[in-house]
Amino acid sequence: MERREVISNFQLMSLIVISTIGTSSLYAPATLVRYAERNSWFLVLAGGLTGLLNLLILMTLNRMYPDKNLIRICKHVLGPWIGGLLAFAVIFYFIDVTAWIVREFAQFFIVALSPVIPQSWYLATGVIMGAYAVYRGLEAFSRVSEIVLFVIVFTFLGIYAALSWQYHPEYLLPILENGWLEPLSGIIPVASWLGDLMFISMMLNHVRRTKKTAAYAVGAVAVTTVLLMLSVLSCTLLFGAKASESFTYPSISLIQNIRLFRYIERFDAALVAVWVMSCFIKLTVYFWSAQQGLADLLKLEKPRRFLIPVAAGIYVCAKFKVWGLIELGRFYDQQAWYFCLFQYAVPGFLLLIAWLRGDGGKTKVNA
Amino acid sequence: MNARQTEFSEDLAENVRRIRDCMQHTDDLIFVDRELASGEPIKIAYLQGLTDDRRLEYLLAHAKEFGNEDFAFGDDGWRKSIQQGAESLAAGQALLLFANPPGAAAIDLLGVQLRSVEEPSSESTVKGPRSGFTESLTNNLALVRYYCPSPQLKIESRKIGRLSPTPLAVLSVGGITNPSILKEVHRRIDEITADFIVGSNAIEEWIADHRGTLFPMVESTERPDRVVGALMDGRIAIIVQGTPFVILLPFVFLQAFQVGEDYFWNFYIGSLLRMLRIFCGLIGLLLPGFYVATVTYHHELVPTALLQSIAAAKEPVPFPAVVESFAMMFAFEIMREAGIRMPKQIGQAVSIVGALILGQAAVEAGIVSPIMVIVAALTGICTFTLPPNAMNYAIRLLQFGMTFLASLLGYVGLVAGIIVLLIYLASLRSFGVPYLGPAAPLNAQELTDVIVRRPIPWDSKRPTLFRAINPYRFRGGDK
Repeated sequence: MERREVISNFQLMSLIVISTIGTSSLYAPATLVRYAERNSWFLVLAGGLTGLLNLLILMTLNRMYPDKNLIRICKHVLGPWIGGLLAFAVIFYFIDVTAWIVREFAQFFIVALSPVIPQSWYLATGVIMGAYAVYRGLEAFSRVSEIVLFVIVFTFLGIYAALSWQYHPEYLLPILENGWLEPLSGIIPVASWLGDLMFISMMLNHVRRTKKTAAYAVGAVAVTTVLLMLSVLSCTLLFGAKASESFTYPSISLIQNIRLFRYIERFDAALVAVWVMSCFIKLTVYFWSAQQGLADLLKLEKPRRFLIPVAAGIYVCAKFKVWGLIELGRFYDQQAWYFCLFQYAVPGFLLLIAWLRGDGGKTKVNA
Repeated sequence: MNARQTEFSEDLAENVRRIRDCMQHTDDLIFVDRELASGEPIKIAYLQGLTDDRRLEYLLAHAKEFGNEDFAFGDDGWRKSIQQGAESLAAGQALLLFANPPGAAAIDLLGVQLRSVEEPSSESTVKGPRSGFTESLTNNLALVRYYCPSPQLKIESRKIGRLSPTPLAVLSVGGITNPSILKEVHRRIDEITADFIVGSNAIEEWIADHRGTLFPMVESTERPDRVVGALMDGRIAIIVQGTPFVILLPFVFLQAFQVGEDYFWNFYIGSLLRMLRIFCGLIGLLLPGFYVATVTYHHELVPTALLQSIAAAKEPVPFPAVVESFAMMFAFEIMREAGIRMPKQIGQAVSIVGALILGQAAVEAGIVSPIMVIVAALTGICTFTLPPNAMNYAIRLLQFGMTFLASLLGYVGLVAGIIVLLIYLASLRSFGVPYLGPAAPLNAQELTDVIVRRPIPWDSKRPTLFRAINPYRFRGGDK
């Protein structure tokens, strides 16, 4: 029997913020201006509300079944067969999301940094980092996430602050000239980024619960929304909506505009650090969730034995998932319903069934 | 310890023979015949060279003036069996063998020539106390008592080693040290099954949480002031006979960048020096890798003027940057090791020959670029700023790994290396205390005290990391 791992509220908050903001803030501005142009900040705000909705669903489920993660809840609520099937689909989703992140990780470096290094090396690096972190356990990578959180938040704030004298506030005007409904046409992609919290359904039963746990989780979504909004605003204020849309990674263009003391420029290395760290945390939380799910579903005594096969699967899946960046971007944009299905519909459905079963009225359901 | 014990008999000659047998007929075992005031014959046994000459001469010369009642010791000084007597002899005591009652009185006459208290060479200081520990356990305990004359200071003596019992002492402070950690320390010491112990490092390896790790799991110091500071924080010290290095535990990663001297300077200077050491540690770990990644993969990130200088300097060099880097780092390590092992006067010559002549010649011959020499020298000098503990060696070793990763994947490899290192460090614990604390798990207040040296009157709280029973050093001093 392995020791039960426990994380703090702040560690949960760090994991949520990093895994949500780190990757999306690099390319979100380009995608969102396609739907909402200069009003994409409003879209982010609306996305933040959907993130809170997702959080509410997951936290309510956890309150109903405090000792269970999503996989166990599936089996408990829907029975061993249908529940087991849904649990299997959720685990597949976790593995699939991990593969998407690994591919994103590699694609960014090939496009933005060094096309000389083969893609498979980047993929292998991502998978090895994630597998090692999962091997070391939830407590270890949650502790590291506390350090990473400060690096990421201060790097992003530093970038936005260093560019502040180049901003053109007039690029934001007029505000919501066609009403507030029009920008919401892009709500699904933004909801899939800001609602990217499904992993917490596997972690909440490992959090040292206090009265402030919910506040920390809500705070995490708020911090994420603010940072993503700053990212979108920064791009719009510097390049304007039309130009932002033309960039693959607008954040790289942002950072390339920074010049300190007339001579010091090219802070791309900072972005590399942020990207590696945030991708690492994000792929690790999903990898860990997948492994935890497998252990619960198959009742594995030593789930670490499955680490290498799962890692190999993720590598293969990531390598052959899409042909390139354009297809990857198109999937995130046009097939975002796939992510929303698991992020919102599955937990929402489980919550509905749980209410119908009358579990909501009970203070605690036995494990 | 031998399980079978043979009791002393009433026949002194027989006892002498048995002791000789028990001590393998060693040639330095001396027996002297004497009589007490009552005329009763006794034999005095001792190991030559292990006893203090003056006190031994006094005992031999004045034996006739003593009566039996002068040696009526309690159980502590009375040896009933041959094996107990032999162990006393080996520990430097003299034995007075009596026929009636059969047994031996053990008198402590240990008198080995040991060095006196000197400034510790591994932890030299500009400002602060200059006394360091020696190889004598009793002297070291006295030094700690001198620096910490508190009745709450608790010393628990033990002997470890089945074949060669080595004395050690576990030091803690009643009312401060957490009893559960102290109990755990004793439990781990009890579990040591070694037949003998060579110094404190062996104890460290036996009781550490993670035996296969590159990183130090306990702190090692030669300075009594540092031991007292650690005890007052709720930590535990272990002093082992025969080594001047005292073990302090639990130990966390960031403590490796602290030196005792920080508290003897103004807090601004102490804090700046502490931050400088952390910065130097990062340079020592990452600079060669950063250079290799930049010149191999990321030229576009270097300002044009600097890039031209680097390109011009590297132009005559036939090797890739990673080979250059490994060669220079390896050469630097050789020179450093040679400088340490050589006698002091020659050691200086080695560094002059190494740094000036070899470096200059290598650049002129076009084997390495001048910039690589600067990188290697700066990296080496930065690691010199760190206290010479195991962390220093770990950083020097890991810089090779970081450089290798940077040569494969550029900056990505470097950041991936840092992450894997952080994950590994975050998974370590020293006696239950997270190794990356107070940075991760984050405790902002204590983290400032690790990175910055707070003014002493503001430092009213003990670190919570070590779970001291009394959380306050003093009341009302906190800002």
